[in-house]
Amino acid sequence: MKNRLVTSLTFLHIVAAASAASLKGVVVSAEDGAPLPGASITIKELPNEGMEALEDGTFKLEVPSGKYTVVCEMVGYSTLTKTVNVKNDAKLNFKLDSDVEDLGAVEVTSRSTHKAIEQTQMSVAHLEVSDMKKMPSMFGEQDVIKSLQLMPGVKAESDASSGFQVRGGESSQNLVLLDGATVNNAGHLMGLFSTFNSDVLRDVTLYKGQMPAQYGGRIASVLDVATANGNNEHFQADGAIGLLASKLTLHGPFQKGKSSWLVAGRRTYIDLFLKGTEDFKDTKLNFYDINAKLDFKLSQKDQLDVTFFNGQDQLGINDLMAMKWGSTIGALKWRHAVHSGLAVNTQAFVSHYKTTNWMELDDSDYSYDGVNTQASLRENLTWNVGEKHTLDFGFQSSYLDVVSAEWEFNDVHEKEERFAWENHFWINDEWNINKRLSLLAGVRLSVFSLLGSGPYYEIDGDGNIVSTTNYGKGDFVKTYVNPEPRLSANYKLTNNQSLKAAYSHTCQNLHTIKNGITSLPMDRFTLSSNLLKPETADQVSAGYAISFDNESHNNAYEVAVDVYYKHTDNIIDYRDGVGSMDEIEIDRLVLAGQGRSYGIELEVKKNFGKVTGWVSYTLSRTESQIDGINRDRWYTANNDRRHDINVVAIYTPNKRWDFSASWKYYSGQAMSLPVGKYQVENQTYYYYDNRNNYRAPSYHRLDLGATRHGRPHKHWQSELAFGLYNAYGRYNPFIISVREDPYVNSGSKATLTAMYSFLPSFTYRFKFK
Amino acid sequence: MSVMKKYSYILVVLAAAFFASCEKTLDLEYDNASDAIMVVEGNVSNDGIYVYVNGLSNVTDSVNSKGLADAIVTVSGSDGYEEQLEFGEGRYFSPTNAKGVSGVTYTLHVKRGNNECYAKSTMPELTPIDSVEFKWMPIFADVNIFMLYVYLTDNPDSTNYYFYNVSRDGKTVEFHCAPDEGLSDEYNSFYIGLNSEKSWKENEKEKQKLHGLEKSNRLYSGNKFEVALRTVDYNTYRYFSSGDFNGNGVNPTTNLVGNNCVGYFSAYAVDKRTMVMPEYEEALKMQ
Repeated sequence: MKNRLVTSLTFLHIVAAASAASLKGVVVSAEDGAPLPGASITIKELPNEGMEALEDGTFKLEVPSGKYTVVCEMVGYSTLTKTVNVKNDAKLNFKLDSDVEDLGAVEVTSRSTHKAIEQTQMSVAHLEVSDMKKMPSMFGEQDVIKSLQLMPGVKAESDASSGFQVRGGESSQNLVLLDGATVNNAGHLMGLFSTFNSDVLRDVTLYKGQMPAQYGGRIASVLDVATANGNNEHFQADGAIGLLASKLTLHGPFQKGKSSWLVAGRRTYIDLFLKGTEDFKDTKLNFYDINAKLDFKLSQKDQLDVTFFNGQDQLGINDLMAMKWGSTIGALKWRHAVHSGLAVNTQAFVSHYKTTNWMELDDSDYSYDGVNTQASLRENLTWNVGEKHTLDFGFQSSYLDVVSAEWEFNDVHEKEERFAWENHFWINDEWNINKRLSLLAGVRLSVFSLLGSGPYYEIDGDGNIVSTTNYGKGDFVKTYVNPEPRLSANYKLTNNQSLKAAYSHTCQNLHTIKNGITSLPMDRFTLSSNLLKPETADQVSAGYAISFDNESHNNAYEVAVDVYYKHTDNIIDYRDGVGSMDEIEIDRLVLAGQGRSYGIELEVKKNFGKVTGWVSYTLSRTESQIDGINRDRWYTANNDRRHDINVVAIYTPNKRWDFSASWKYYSGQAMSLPVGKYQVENQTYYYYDNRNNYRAPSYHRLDLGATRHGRPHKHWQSELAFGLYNAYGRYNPFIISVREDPYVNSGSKATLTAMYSFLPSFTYRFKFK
Repeated sequence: MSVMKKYSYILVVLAAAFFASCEKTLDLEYDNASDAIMVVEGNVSNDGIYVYVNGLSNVTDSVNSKGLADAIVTVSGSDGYEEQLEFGEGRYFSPTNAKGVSGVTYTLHVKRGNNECYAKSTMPELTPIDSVEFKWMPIFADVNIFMLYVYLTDNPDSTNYYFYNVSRDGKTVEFHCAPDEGLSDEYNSFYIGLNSEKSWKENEKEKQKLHGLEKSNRLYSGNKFEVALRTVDYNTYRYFSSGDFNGNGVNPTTNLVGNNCVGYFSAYAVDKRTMVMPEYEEALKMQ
């Protein structure tokens, strides 16, 4: 005991005597020179020190002077260990080799390991792109959003949909970002695929409502998707040939080691198969998307990125109907490091979504268009103030142009277009108070001004227009100011345990009404107005996380529990008996009220070994109360589901094979079931008492996947992926309806329509360099 | 904006048809219908005054539309008309064979036990049928629907709402409700789908499957039927328009005021034509 005390005192003395110094550097891929954000940097002699490389691959650690063994590791790359003697400031760069060609023992790790304990930010889900590529996939297409739907608190909008709902929110309440630019429709083919080509993704982060002040504009969540830079060392081609879609990514250097370009394209060819059928031979059904990225290292302190995305879907039948919808995004991002502690990020982007639908019936043409355009300028400064504070502050100024609908038929032409100027200002401080306690405190100020031109209305209780005011171009119609405080605290009970708590207030000025249960190009958008107030959410949450070591690894297992309560205001739902196309003025179709959701999310993860994966369970409840609906009483929200279970396992027995399985279960979705029926005009009508008074049958599905990696060659790699979606072929509810059927005695029949029974798939992937 | 609604509905159905592939019948446990609900279907027209009063049926039972005879039903008009209706043949009717008059606002009052409701409706001017025509309409590449077109001359000086239906033996087979928006000199018609080419070929087989013709919502060759064009008020249009969402868990928007009442009261002006469903071979010759 005495010896230990002397040793400790001696160590403390040495540490106290040593002057503080910094160790900084950058982590890049040896293969293509791309920064490796998220790479873990740890110091063997200082087990409490360590960090993950930032977005540009840089890291900086404050350490006492001394000699250290620094370990840099990242999933998919060989671990690199270096020794460094730190006197004042020291630089240490890492170039990590891809471990694909390493024929040594296989070990899969998760770079998000320990994040749940270390991070001050609450309720963040990081998706490992490498894990996603091993998971079972639908139609052989790896999908970032379907992978996120396997995480606690995240639910699929409907079967096979790439729409997702977070903690009781609607999919339209999620902010989806691609390299910082807003994506207004993240789904292809009614949501069967997401718009994100998995081959170009670098990093995927989901903030489940407790978002830092830098993010805002939606009340449910933020999905931040970052694309990878091209290979800045040599030319490379990656591709995949699948059952229904193929894709190709080409990338290479502009200036070796400094600048790169990347172009990726993906297209389905479902309609080629349809041509072989009698009924659908004249049908068009396809999508494509193109990603392009340029990155330039202008100087040691300046980095410029240019991102472009264009995705289009189309569905058409002969000369009878056509539906086309898609997004185009262009973004420019300049990162300037003023000095090692201050970085300025300047971004400008334009995001444009348009849907065009047309149909001909009886020589009459019907057309419907919708547009959602956002042009933004964003400035964010990150300032490391001393050792304990990291300050983020900035602003975003956006111009919004939303055509909620423009339709024409015969002599009728109606259009509703709304303009707005939206400004956000934020400041956010991550304060590491001591080794155990850290705070993330910030505030975001939302200033939303609705602009002319256009008519604005006053309506009566039934939604009828009672007066109209016409505004000129650029006139201020209505301004809403919303301060949005955010607070998150992390207290580390031990190195392996932490307690967290958070509060956030968020607001949203873009409102969406859906035309069905899944993402369709007929959904309509509008902005807050004199009648529709901004939707707001107040969320409090608390969490506990613990990790366990095994014989060979720290944090081999992790357990995390989060509880939350969220209250929402000014959420909208349809008035009884109206649809999205009943009136051009959306404000007349909906009523606004309040909502509440609460739940508990549990996750158990295994991070290392030949078998990795997780089990998650969510128990939740979501309700709404809107005057004028359900006799003004609280009712179960449309997207309420009580239990969600996800089990994901990835087995990597050797370098040649990956096997994966995911099983998903959720209890039945809320739905309205009639309690009686009657006839009017000889037609049967059903009588409903309470809205959403019934539960649909439960949902469960097993997906299986296997990938065989070809023997790696110097310039060529390939792999073959097999998948089986809904392996045991369960008919899961997509639509449940009660309708008349003259062939049954009662005259009524309830039917369940499922999307698919089981779907096999295969994909051949290759890499040429 | 019913035309746009119908258009979007068709688009959504067509789009969903590509993706939804499996269907099965479900056994659901429904709650029993409440005895407290009164179903009222009130009509005042230039054809007469009829009011149906019924109760709810259980979802798992056939609908009982025999009529409840113990209600007190009164109709009055802004022109001084007032009368208590009498019950017979499952409905309440005017003992004096009174008929509605355009421009008059009528009030319906129904009382049965503790249930009581009333509603008002103003009878619009009559828009007569100019002509009717059978016509084929292609939907999919190989799907053609046999349609009945109803031509009319809409009064451009007023906003009109129309309810048009075909009925066999006094029972509606199919109906639609729409505003006059979208009607033009060139497209001055509404249409009703009568039969698809494919199902027509299977007519005889279908007939055998049915428990009786009165349950069928399809017209067969040789059937005599009536097409009617009603000019209705906004509340009637709203009732039937909102009824399109009945399958989505929404009760139609009623104009009845009172507790535990569903249904509607409509004063309308109607014009009719009697038609005969042609034989399939004969129909094929039509454009």
